[in-house]
Formats: sequence, C-alpha cells, structure tokens
Amino acid sequence: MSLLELKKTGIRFGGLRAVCDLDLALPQGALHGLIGPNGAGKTTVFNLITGIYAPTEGDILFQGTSIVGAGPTRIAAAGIGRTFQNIRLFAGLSVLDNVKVAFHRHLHATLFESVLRAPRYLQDEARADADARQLLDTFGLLPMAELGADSLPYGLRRRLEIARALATKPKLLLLDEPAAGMNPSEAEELMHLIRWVRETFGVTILLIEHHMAVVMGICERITVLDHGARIAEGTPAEIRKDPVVIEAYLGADVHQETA
Amino acid sequence: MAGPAAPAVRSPLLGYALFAAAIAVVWGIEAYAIPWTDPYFTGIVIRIGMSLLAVMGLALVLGFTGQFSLGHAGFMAVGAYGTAMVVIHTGIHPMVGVFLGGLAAAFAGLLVGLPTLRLTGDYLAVVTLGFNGIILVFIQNTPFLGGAAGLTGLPVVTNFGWTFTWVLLGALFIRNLLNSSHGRVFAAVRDNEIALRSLGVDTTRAKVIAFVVGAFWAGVAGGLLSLYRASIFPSQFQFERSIDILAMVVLGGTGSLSGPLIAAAALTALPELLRPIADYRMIIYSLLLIVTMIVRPQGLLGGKELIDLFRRRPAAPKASGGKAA
Ligand SMILES: Nc1ncnc2c1ncn2[C@@H]1O[C@H](COP(=O)(O)OP(=O)(O)OP(=O)(O)O)[C@@H](O)[C@H]1O
Ligand SMILES: [Mg+2]
Repeated sequence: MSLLELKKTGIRFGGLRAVCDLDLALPQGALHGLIGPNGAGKTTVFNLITGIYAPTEGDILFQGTSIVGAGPTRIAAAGIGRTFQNIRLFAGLSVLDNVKVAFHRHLHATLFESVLRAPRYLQDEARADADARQLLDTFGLLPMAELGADSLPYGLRRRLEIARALATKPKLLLLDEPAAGMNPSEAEELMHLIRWVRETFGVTILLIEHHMAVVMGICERITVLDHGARIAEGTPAEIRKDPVVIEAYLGADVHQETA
Repeated sequence: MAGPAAPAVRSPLLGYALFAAAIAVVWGIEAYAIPWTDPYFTGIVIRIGMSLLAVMGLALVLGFTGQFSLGHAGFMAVGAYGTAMVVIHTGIHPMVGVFLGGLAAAFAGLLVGLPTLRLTGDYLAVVTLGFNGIILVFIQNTPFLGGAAGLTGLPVVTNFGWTFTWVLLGALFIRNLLNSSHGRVFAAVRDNEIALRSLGVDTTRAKVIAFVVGAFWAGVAGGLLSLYRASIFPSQFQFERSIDILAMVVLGGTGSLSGPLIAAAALTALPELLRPIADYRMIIYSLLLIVTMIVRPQGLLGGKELIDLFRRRPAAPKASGGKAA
C-alpha cells in the first residue's frame, strides 16, 4: 500500500487549472522529486496534500484513507510535516521555542496545571525542553538555541524549519525548495542532510527543488509537472533523457548542470 | 555563542512564596496605610487596579496572540452586571460574586470567540465592536438590569486589598500562562498561523483560549467596579472605554505584559491628576497613539518586559518576547 496516493487530483482557481488530473503514489520510505518550471503547480500540490486547499477534483489518500477536507491541523497530526518555499519560522520566538511549539500537541498538562505549575506541567516542560535540545543538537543548531529565529543566517533557517517539521514525528515530510538561494556547496551539504534525515528519522520524503544536481542526486523517482499536469515520471536517468521534459523544463544544458 | 542555558523548568516554590508575600503586603497596606491615606488618592489607586485587570486580558489577546479585539468594555459590562445580579439576588460573598461575574464574561467570550476566531482577518474587530454595542443596548432595555438609569444600592466591598489581590492573581495567571507551552503557541499564532497549523496545533482553539482568559479578567475588573461606588451604569462600558484599554495595550507595547500595565497605571492616573484636561482625554489618547505609531511603533516596551531593561545581557527572545502584532 502506498503511504500517499493522489488520484486524479486537481484544483481550479477561477478559470485557472493550477493542478489537474494528477496521479502520484509514494511507497513507504520513498524519496521522490517533484520538479517543473515556475508556476507549474508544485507548491499547490503541497497545499492540496496538507489541506490548505481542498481539491476540486479527485482524491488524496494517506495510509489508505482519504484526507480530503480534514484541514491542515488534522492532516499534520495524522503524520504529514512540511516546510515552506518562503520560510515560515516564528520570528518572535527563539530557535529552541520554534521547535518546542511543535511538541504542544503531545503535552498532557491542562491549562490550569500549566498556570499553577503543577507536577505534570513541570514534567511536560522538562521533556519538551530535552527533546527539542536533542533535535537541535542533531541538526547542529544547539549553540544557537537561545537566539531569535530571525537572527539565524538563511541556510540555518532552512535547517531549523526542517528540524521543526521533524519534531512533529511525521511519516511523510514535504520539502518545498529547501536549496533555494543556496550556493553549490551549501546545496551539496543539504543533499547529504536530506538523505541523512530519511535514514535517521525513517520518513518518506517528497521534495520540490529547482537545483537539478540535488534532485537528480538523491531522488529515486521524479515527477515532472508543467501547467498543472504531469508530463513525465521516472528515475532521474529516464527524466534526464525524456525529450518532453527537456523541451518543457530542463533545456539543453541539463547535462552540464548535473555533471 | 550560546549563553549558559537557563534551567528548563524552575521549581515553582519560590514563586508561590513570593506571591504569598505580595498578598500579605497588600493586606498589610490595606490595614495599616489605607486608613491614613486621602480617600481621593486611594480611589485613584483602586481605579488603577481595575485598569490593570482589564488591560492584562487585552495584552494577552492583542499584544501576545495578535487578535484585534475592540469590545473589551463589553466583557467588563458582563462581569459587572453578572456580579451585581449574583450579589443582589444571593447571599453569597461578594468576592465570589466577582469570580462568577468573571466566569459570565468568559462565557460571553466563548460565545463571541468560537464562531469568529475560526476566521482570519478583521472579523474579530468588527464582531467585538458590535458585541460591545449590543451588550449596552441589551442592558439599557432590560428593566431587570436597571435599564439606562443603572443599578443602585449595591454593597460597597471593593477596597485596595481586594482589588490588588485580584490584580496579583491575574498577573500571576497570565504571566504563568505566557511562560508555558500555551504562551509559545499564542506567540506562534501571532507570527504565523499557517506554519503553526502545519505542526498539528489547533490555532482556533489557541485563539479561543486566549480570548476567553482575556474576557475573564475583564469581567473581574467589571465585577470590582460594580462593588466600588454602590452603583453601575451602562454608560461606564461604552466603546470609548474599549478604546482606552486598547490605547493602553498599544502604548505599553505589544508582546509585553509589564508595558501595558505601566501604560494602564499612567493613563488612569493622569486624567485624575490633571483634572482640567480630563475633557480632552480622547484627543490626548488619539495624539499619543499617533505619536507612538510614528516614533515607537512597538510601544513603550514592545516585545520586552520591564525586568529585561535591568539585565546586563540582552535577553534572548522567549515565548513571550517578539515582534509587534
Ligand atoms: N491561492 C491561489 N489563487 C489563485 N491562483 C493561485 C493560487 N495559488 C497558486 N495559484 C496559481 O497557480 C499556479 C501554480 O502556482 P504554484 O505556486 O503551485 O507554482 P510552483 O510550481 O510552486 O512555482 P514556483 O516554482 O515558482 O514556486 C500559478 O499560476 C499561481 O499563480
Ligand atoms: Mg512553488
């Protein structure tokens, strides 16, 4: 059974079909790429999966059950984590608190126990603090734990956003252009990070990325979107050779770029 | 460079001890200082206490959670009339009446907040504004509540001791709430609701919690007011009062608790001390707000607490710290 399955999924914004008739199946443990030109509908696919938009056509199954109409909070709680193309950290919170917020759903203390500093609240806090620090440590962010999230350099913000998403213990992680704005060596480092995340946290990953070196380097399969529709799906080697994909997106210099 | 990590959780015992000591000081002042104090001055201090209670609730809702509520005086009215009804019609201790008045306001907050806080945007501002007006019209047209002529013959129970006992309770409640997982969630709601939902947190629930808690403390302020001068009138809870409270939060600083409390004390005392300008209050507030927006848009202590100013190292942002709404 696929972990995630999109069946003829589509959405219209007025007259615009941002995504149409999209079929996509991610088996457990996959690292799948989603590529395509600007405005192809990639981010919209993420917004459909995470419930920010409801599809106007088709169905979306997660672990075999439809999640259409469940809303972002319940879909996230069901085990789908994500990052955003335009980073969305909590700017007013410290690096540590950005991660601790993600544990909120798992805390047991009631409002009054929190206010009265009851034992259960103290246990909750101690556990959230330890777990968040451990997670930051594995991401190399522990030295910045007490800094404001908005004071981090760009590359580390992307890292923190991935760490925060993982704090919810997702089964499926959606990464929207994590290498955007990175130089080749930073992108290379990110590639290793993504591989390492999949192995360490056992998550299935769906990755949107324009850096072809990254996508081709780590994804087992790739889906190519253009004008909201799937124009190809296959292994990186197949995608690289596909004339339709070269025409619509990759262009002639792809071999140079991925060399 | 990482500073030395603060302990994740401190034992609450010291806090409890300090709180008990503060309550003892309040009642010590009530017993030994108030009898020798000019009643006019005591009156101003009590009025300040009621402002503090009203403002701390809105600081939570607007300053920390970023929800624009324009009808805070409406919740004070529910608390005031709720308390008055309980005290008139039952033999219960008046301070239990104040607590029940607060609960009535919290319930009103739930009714207003549940449908409205699901939506993002300016709905809350519009709905709370309407709520403030509807409550007043309802009171004015309900003989049982004294109508426009108000309710008279209430017992006078609100003194310095009770007022500041409630202020301390409220400040402790809201401070502890802000320094908990809930406080982090409130600040995250203000910063980025979409990201917070992507972490599986129910943002509507978080906003409703902040709103209901804010309404409760406004209700307590109203309850104390009803037992202060033996009478209450609908005109005490008009839209202008909501704007007063809003001005105190914005001037004091969003994302700060001590800032709005300082502003509340100052803006409550000033018109009293400067009687001749009292008539121009709304103009002065408006000017103050405009000047603040231009010169210091984050308010007096935006994103900080008073105690941060006395620390040598700049404090790292905590759950309660942060940017203006
Ligand atoms: N909420 C919306 N309302 C109307 N149109 C939208 C909305 N969201 C996306 N679109 C449109 O849908 C199309 C696909 O947008 P989307 O953001 O998914 O593209 P993308 O593939 O992620 O592009 P990029 O590589 O630039 O990030 C675009 O034409 C966009 O303008
Ligand atoms: Mg996009």
